[in-house]
Amino acid sequence: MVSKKNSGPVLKLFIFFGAGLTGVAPVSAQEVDSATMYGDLQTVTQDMLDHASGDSNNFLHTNGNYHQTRYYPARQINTSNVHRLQRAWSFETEVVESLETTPIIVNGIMYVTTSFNHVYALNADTGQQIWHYKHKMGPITTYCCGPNNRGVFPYGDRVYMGTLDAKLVALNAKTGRLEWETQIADPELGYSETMAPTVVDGKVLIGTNGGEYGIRGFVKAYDADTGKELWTFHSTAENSVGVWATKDATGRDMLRDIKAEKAALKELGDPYKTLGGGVWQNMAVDRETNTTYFVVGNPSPDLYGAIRPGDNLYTNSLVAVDLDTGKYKCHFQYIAHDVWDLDAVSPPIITTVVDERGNNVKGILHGGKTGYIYVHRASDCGLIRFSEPMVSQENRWVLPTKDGARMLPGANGGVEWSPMAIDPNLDLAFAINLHQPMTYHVEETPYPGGKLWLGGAFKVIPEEQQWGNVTAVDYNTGKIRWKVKTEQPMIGGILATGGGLAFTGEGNGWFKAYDSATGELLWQYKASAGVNAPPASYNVGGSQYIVVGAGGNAQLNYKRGNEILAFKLGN
Amino acid sequence: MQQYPILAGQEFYYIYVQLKDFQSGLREGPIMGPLVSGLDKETMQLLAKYFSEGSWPETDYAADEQQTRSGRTVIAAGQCVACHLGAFHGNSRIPRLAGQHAEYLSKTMLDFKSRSRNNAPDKGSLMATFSDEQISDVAQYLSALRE
Repeated sequence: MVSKKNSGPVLKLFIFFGAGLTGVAPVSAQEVDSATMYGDLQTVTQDMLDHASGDSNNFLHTNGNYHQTRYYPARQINTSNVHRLQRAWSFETEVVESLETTPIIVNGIMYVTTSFNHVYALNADTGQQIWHYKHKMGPITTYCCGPNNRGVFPYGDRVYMGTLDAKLVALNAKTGRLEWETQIADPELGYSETMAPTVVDGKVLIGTNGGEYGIRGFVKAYDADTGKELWTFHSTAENSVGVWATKDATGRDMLRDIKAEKAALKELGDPYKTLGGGVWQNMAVDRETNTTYFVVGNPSPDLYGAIRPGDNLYTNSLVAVDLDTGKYKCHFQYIAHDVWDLDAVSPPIITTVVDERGNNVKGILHGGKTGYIYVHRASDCGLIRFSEPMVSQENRWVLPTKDGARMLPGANGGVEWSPMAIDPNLDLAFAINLHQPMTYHVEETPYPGGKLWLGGAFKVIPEEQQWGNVTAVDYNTGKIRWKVKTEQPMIGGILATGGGLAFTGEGNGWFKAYDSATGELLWQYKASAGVNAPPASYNVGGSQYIVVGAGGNAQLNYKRGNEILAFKLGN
Repeated sequence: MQQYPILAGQEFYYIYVQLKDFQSGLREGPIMGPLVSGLDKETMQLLAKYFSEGSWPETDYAADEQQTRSGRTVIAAGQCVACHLGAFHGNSRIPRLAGQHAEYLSKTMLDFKSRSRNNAPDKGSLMATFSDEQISDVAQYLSALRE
């Protein structure tokens, strides 16, 4: 019922904000300033954040709104005119390295981040720099897959960012001045931050990276005013053994040696202290039930499972906790005792779905590295269905060997960290995927004390072709509605809009707009570097913009760059 | 034969970890082990700071077409840039490889492969998947990388 319930407030907001609608007289950002329904519109209030799904002026959340739909309601740019979309401005950051930032736009001011934790405030209409903050990085950083950062979260008069040296920083949104910082965890042990935080009701929520280093994962809540820690949910349970599941969420046998694992458990004890379980991406927030939903990453070490007997709860799981206390509510594990790093990273989405009995219920969607989209009941995390596979499934779940066992998907997915988007009018979820054959090698490896701990190696098979796809899945049936093959494996993210468009970029520099309903390619732009960041949209002075970072990607070695690109309709 | 590494301009934390590992025996080094055995943490950090603040020297290594092709294949297969970054300059605990002595790079990777160097165990797992020839090629390729 969620999306249906939103239709009331959405309409109301359109009347106030107006500017995103075709055929409605544009209202400039300055005029909107005087409409104080949600405060002065420069200070980000809880009301503004709660109503973000209907706000066609701002882009306040990493994934569009608390439900993380990445569905932007404005439709000034739409299927009939997107061919006129052209670059309005570009901005070059100081850092030429992976860009994974989601631009955040608050009443005409844009906030973007770069690798190594630079933050820029820009005039969203012109791209002109307002301020630039460089985080003073400590000498010890331990991270996987690039020195990335995925953006800030605005709240009140501040923006919040996690850092590679595992800190949470609060900056003054008007000046970029550091207001406070707090150490989240010890980078020497493998903790780092690349995700954007999520802020709700004065609490800054943030997870951690480190599943490749034997950390103990968590989600923490901090007081937005002071940086004081409020609660911690450990994403590896003190009793991580579980139910000795032999099949994954799709019903396929994972070839576990349960007898050997039980013997190892007796000898080694519960492995939860170094079990990994990073939470890499933003959490969805259900304000109605005061619940936050997030997905937990792979167990440590990635490939060598014998040292960590049991299901390894709550790795590779969807987890729900109480927003006020961090207390466990429910979970669903996709892969128990994973030895392939095919974990859960892409942020979960809350939307109305049809359940097994044909009823509309509040649901949770997650795009897995397995290449399936999973559809859950929000009430108990239970699985309603999983989609047709979006990528080839070959030899799954062959066990890793010393000399390497070939399997598809490769360890980068399926769907990597890339956020999905939905179009609730079409019942479609849009996901970007990788087809990247790999061999999985295992080696007995004791805990190396904060150093990389894969327990073997993942190896891309150089002789085999790789590609990617953009896929639209009907989440009420699990059927693939359309799929477009791309030249390279896909990583970055996708945005759907009220104009019936789905925007996503590729490692070769193409940034494309597809017809959400059909997958038809309607527009493309060639950037000077890989477009591997999630797009956003906003409105200033009556014009709708689409914005995206073009900085390439370290994980897949796509051409690096340093551009923020903003587009609007030309004549 | 340049079997010893360039340290000037290397990453501070990488150097410090290596000194700690020589001291604890996690990394075996018949020369370095005894040299660092009596050093305290602060002295090791000062040494790491001193070397890391130096300038990486010019070298004249070159890679031919075959070595370049083979080296790039190895790098793609091993997903090396995910940690060492695009220019192979490293960061923090990940060492710079670009412009390092080819002989040292080759020896190091072979030591990982044979497990005679064990202080980064996953490197051993990865190097075991490559032939000695591939390791030699990628060492040459990396040594020839300029700014």
